[in-house]
Amino acid sequence: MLSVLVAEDDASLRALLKEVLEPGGYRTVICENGRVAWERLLAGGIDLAVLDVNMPEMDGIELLRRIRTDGRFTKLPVILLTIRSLVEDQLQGFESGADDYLTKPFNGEMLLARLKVLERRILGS
Amino acid sequence: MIPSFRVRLLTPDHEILARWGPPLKAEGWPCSVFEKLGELLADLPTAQSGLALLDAEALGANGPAAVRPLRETRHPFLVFGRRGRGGDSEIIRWLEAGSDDFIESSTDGRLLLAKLRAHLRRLLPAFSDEMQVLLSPKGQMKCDRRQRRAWLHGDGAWRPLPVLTEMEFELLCLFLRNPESALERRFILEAVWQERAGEVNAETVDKHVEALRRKLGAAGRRIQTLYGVGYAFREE
Repeated sequence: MLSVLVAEDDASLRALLKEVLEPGGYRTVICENGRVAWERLLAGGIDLAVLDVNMPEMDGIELLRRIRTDGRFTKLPVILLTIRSLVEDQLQGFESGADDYLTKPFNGEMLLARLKVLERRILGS
Repeated sequence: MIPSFRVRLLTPDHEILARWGPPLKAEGWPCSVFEKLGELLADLPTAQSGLALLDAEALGANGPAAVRPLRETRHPFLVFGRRGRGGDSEIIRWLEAGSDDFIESSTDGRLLLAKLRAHLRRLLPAFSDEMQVLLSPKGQMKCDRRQRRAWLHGDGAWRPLPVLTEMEFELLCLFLRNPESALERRFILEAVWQERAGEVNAETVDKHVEALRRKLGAAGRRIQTLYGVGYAFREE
């Protein structure tokens, strides 16, 4: 079973993501901000990440940049979640190294489908 | 340009070709256009690596079954279409059928390129790495697209250039992707400003080229003015 790191500062969204991802076949590791998520990532055992962009202490873009510049995590598949739907915001996300980008409110099945695409690539199926 | 990489675009829609063709060309990615899936599939063995962009309309109602040959050969493909027809359910159907993404037809050219680069990082990492660093023909200048930085080579070492603005950096990348070629102002405008090209005039290109030349110092002479045409990048 693959482990998904979830970084989201909104408590109700954290609960929703857990409800979507676990029945979808993933083990979830839930964090309330980017700093906690980074510390958890360093502990190991994470296969995919779903990161909110707007978070206190360390936002999703800064966390993503740390992930992409750290040799241990450059290949970690990452989906960004955000309320910001402007082209410039999405460009920033992709240029920071995101694999995919979903705007809120999002469809739980869509998130699962996009995670499955990333899973296909990392498992080479 | 990386000759062994090719984008195969399946669409009969001229509006898509008009919107996405120029940014793909400016990126230096060879692009073949097909109106029928069978023609695209027949072309697959003729070139090395690539990525297929498939118009959902051109694939028809039996689309997910039709793309099975691509799935079986593990050739990367992305489907695009108009949002609203089937909504999220249709998008999920394509992702489950093996598409690496579903892109809305109205997607901005800049965002299309950003998404394609993200896919290439995963699907074709060797090409992705090669595409990230642009080197001038004589190896005197380079740009790293990931770092958004540029360097000049001299006295046996690479010296970083002053930080460039987004437009200056994209201009320099365009010149490095098209060395020794006469680039018309109109082409530069569409390649660098893309959807915003209509909001600026050709003199804006001149202003940004001048600013770039200043930052390049003596190396700025490599960007030559072609009067009545535009510019060309030439190394001595």
